Amino acid sequence: MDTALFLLVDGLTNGLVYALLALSLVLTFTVTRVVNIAQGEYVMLGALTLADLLQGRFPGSVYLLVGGLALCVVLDARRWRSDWKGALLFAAGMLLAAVGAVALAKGALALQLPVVAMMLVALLLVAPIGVLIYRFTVHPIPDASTIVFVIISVGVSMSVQGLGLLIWGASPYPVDPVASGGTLLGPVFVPYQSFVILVVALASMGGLYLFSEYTLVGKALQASAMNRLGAQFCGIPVAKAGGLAFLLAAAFSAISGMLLAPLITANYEMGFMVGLKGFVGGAMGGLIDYPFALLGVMMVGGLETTSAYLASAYRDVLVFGLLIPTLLWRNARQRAEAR
Amino acid sequence: MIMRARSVLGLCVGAAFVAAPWVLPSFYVGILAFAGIYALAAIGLILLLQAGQVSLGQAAFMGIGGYVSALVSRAYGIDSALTLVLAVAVTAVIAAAFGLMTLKLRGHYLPLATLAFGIATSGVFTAWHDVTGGASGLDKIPSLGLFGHVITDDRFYAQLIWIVVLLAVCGVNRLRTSRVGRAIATLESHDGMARSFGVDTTALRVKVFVLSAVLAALAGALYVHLLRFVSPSPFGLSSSFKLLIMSVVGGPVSGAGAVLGAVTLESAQWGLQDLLARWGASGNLEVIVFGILLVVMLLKFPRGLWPTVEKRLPAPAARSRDGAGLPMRRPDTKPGEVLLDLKGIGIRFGGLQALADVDMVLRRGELVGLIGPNGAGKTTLFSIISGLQRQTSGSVKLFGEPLPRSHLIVRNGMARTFQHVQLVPEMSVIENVALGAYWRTRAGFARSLLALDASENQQALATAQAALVRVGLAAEADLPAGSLPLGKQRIVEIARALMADPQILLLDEPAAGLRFSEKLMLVKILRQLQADNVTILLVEHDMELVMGCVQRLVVLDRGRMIAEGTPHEVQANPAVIAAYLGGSRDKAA
Amino acid sequence: MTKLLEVSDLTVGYGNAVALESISFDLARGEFITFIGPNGAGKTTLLNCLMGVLSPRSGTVVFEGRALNGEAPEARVAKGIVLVPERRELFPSLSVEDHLRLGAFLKRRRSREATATVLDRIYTLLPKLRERRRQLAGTLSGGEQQMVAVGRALMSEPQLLMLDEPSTGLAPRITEEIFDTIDRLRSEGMTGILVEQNANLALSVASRGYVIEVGNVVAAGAARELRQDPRLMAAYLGAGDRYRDIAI
Repeated sequence: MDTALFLLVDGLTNGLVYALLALSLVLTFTVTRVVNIAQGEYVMLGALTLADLLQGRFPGSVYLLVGGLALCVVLDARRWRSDWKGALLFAAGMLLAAVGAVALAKGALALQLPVVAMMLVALLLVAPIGVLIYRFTVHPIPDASTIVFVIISVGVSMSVQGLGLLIWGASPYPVDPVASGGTLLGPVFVPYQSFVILVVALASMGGLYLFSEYTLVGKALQASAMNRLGAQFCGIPVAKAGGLAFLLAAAFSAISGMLLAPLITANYEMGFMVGLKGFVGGAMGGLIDYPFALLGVMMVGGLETTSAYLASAYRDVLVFGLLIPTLLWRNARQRAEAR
Repeated sequence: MIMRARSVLGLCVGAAFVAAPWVLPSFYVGILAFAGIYALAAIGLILLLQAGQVSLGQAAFMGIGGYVSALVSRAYGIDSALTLVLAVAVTAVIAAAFGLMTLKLRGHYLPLATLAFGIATSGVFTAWHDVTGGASGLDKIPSLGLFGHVITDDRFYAQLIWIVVLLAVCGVNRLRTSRVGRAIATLESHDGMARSFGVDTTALRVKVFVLSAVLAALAGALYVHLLRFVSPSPFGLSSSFKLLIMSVVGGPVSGAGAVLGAVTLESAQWGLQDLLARWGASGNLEVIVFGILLVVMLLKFPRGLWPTVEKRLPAPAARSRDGAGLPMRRPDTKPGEVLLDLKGIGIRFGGLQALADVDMVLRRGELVGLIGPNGAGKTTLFSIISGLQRQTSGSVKLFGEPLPRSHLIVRNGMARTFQHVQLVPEMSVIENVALGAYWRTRAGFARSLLALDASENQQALATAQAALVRVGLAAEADLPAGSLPLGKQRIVEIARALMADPQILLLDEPAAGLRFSEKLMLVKILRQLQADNVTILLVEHDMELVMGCVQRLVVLDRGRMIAEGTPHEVQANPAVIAAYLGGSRDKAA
Repeated sequence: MTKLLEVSDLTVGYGNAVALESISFDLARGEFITFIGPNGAGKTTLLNCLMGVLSPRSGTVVFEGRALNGEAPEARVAKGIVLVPERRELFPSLSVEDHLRLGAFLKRRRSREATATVLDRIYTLLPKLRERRRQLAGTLSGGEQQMVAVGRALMSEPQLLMLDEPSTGLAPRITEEIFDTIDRLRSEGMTGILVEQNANLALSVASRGYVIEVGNVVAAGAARELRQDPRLMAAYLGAGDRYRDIAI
């Protein structure tokens, strides 16, 4: 009985972390039709950036951010001939953003901010990388097929992971939990970190909900997801909506990484597997249905902890084996709806 | 047989690959052997990509093949000539089961399912410790034995691998210009069209998937006997990704693309690792380059490197199209007999009654027009007649029999064209037309791969050539279909439909988007077909054209038949005029 | 008189197909014109091209004295051009009021009161929408969906309203209602282009009409005269005989 409860708490905690990822995946897919295999890499970036900030190192993700901004200016080069004023303004903006990012990182380190503030700084450094990736890989070919986007995101995942290795090396980075210790809830010992995860995850999801339901921009994002052409006819800039979706998705995944970092070893290759587990959950909802995606990740979390306890070697086999029938069911459902 | 320059060149390059192990230092022989193994698995992936599918789990099939061959030969000491066959067979069964299960998956679902399959399978390799030796793997796997001759010399092994690779390249390239290959090319985005010409697309998809997995299994088995050691890591997700990159970089348009991709990537990998090591970097940093390469290739060169290489090569020898055509069907024709009989057709979509009580007959030798304003239900009726949609009430009789399943209709003598032109744009005009004879020919995968389909293919191409002459497009036979103007593309569609030797021809808006001169050509062809006693049902918007061609018209409005008769009768019919021009609106002051 | 829109020699095609061949027309402020013609004539193509969904192969479009050049639909909305598309293109799980607010997305910095005034005007024009303001668009009837599409387009207070086949799939009574609304907009001075298959209905609201047949304008003139024009009937029912005597 106690074991069951313990597993429940553990599964719930895992599920919440995956939930943030599943939300990112659904958000990205609905707005841009990109099945983002690389989503997990933001988990890694979030975790390692936080580790750097907490341990007083200059965060490596700033290099990525600055490099990406520079690439944006390079890609904008053709505009210099036709509209040099606009191009100059754009380049200046990118430079400003780069300087801002460096200043933010340096400032945070100098001030030795508390953990929660450091999480916010890490978020500000990692989330824009999502927009940059969108600019480089999706923006040039908005109407490509889903298969092309899947393969592209594989490429993104590989390069970001490789860059992670280049920046952080292969060694793991321990991150102290926001809150250490725990408390007995009835017969079960619940670590405080689980509460932190619960609060942050629920707050993030609640935030997304409030944003999409109570702001016009949030509604516009929903509109772009439901009907791209219809959104354009309202004057909603759908390309920007795609960028916004990538931004939010990167932010959610980074938060998930920061919450996860104390529980597992944070290293350059942590993101991929976590990302795939978020996928399994997200795919439960066919990547289009938020409630089912949440149900999916909770199941994945639960299944994972139970199987870890019962047959630990087959954990991944079970989790991913489960995905295939789920996909079949989803596909059949979608076809039925299309009819 | 006269060899064309292209074949000679191909033979020379092939011979160079096979001979290379004699002269290369042993380190490079190893790289060459691995490149060959990856090329073999990538050829399978390219076949899959040609069918519009993508697998993120190709390495898992390599793994299954590798483990089966390794385990059986290790446990029972059986000659690996037999274990290779066994490995291929086991993989084929698994792939067929997986293929059957996942075949209905569309869009992003199939890549995700193969991804999950890949991860789960490599999870099994690690977790099933008692059999597979877990993560640390199994050693002491026997060397490759071929009927008693044990191959211990790596140079000879590498040569063997490359012979297999080159055979696979030839087979897959041969397949492209065969009956099966033409059908495979339609799978990506013309499923309904393929079925209307008799292709059982469901079965074909599974077969392609199995063939692709079989090539991977062979590669996997060759891999483990080369290393004489097996572990899960080379069959994991990163290998699947690597194979995908090889296919995309090489170019998913030809088997040779896989070789190009595999050789480029393997040498780049070793070169980069060497370079990075000299700079003091550790770990798999080359993945950064590969990842970026993959993205850039897809953004800028989605057809890969091979087309660039191919442009510089002499043109391939076209397959022969001389000689006699396919035998024609000789029905005993009674003029005026009813060929197609629709009774009380109705269909509902949700709450909407799209068609109700439509009765219509088509008699031998007639040219009948089906017209009606927007939303009248013409397209729906058309797809019911061609078996792509099922009516909710009423019956369709074709030659007095109930309508068979969609891919069998063409055998019974009815062929159609499509409102949105459904040609495979990269394929040549004559190949597109030849697809029309799918049901009249028989060669399957085995005959096509082994080049035993020559005489039948020649007949089919001869017939296609004759069909093109008949519609006046003989000069365009070898151009890619996508390069023709729309008017000619629509006529290619008619030629393809004629290739099916139909008694009834269904034409779905053949004049849409045509210029006047093109329409004149179309009308001439219609007249000629009528003279040849082909029965035609025509849906068309251009009223002047319809009125000028047909003998009889059927008019639909809001899902019901409102009139039937000669063009003159229909033009004067008040119900038709009201349906087209609309009822007047009373304006209150 | 200043022209709001001037279109000259517009040719549009899809791939290798030509859908419209050198169409020219102009439109003064406050005018309401219609393009009528049978299915497949290229009417929808014309509106999609003016809206920026398709780009023309050749020809120019001048709006308020400035040439339009490859702007995306959202940029054209900003300039004051809106389209009520044939398929309505609504957002099934957003409410009616959400649609209307999104219609004014580009004016989101406008004051709360100003938005409320515009919203109120739309609700007065289309009272049914006020009753249904909280209902999700996916659950509305066809006629109500059409009203949402019209209301959404009007929310940005456009200079030019384009309507694509507003009668498609609607019962005659509902069509009547929609056309009453269009008539009212016209009488209030809205500039518009109406594309319709139902010629008599369209000519009852518009002041001028163009008959298009397979990509070409075959007749044009005042609505009253066009209703009696034999070329109108010919366009719909194919009275020409260019194909009749083609030999093999």
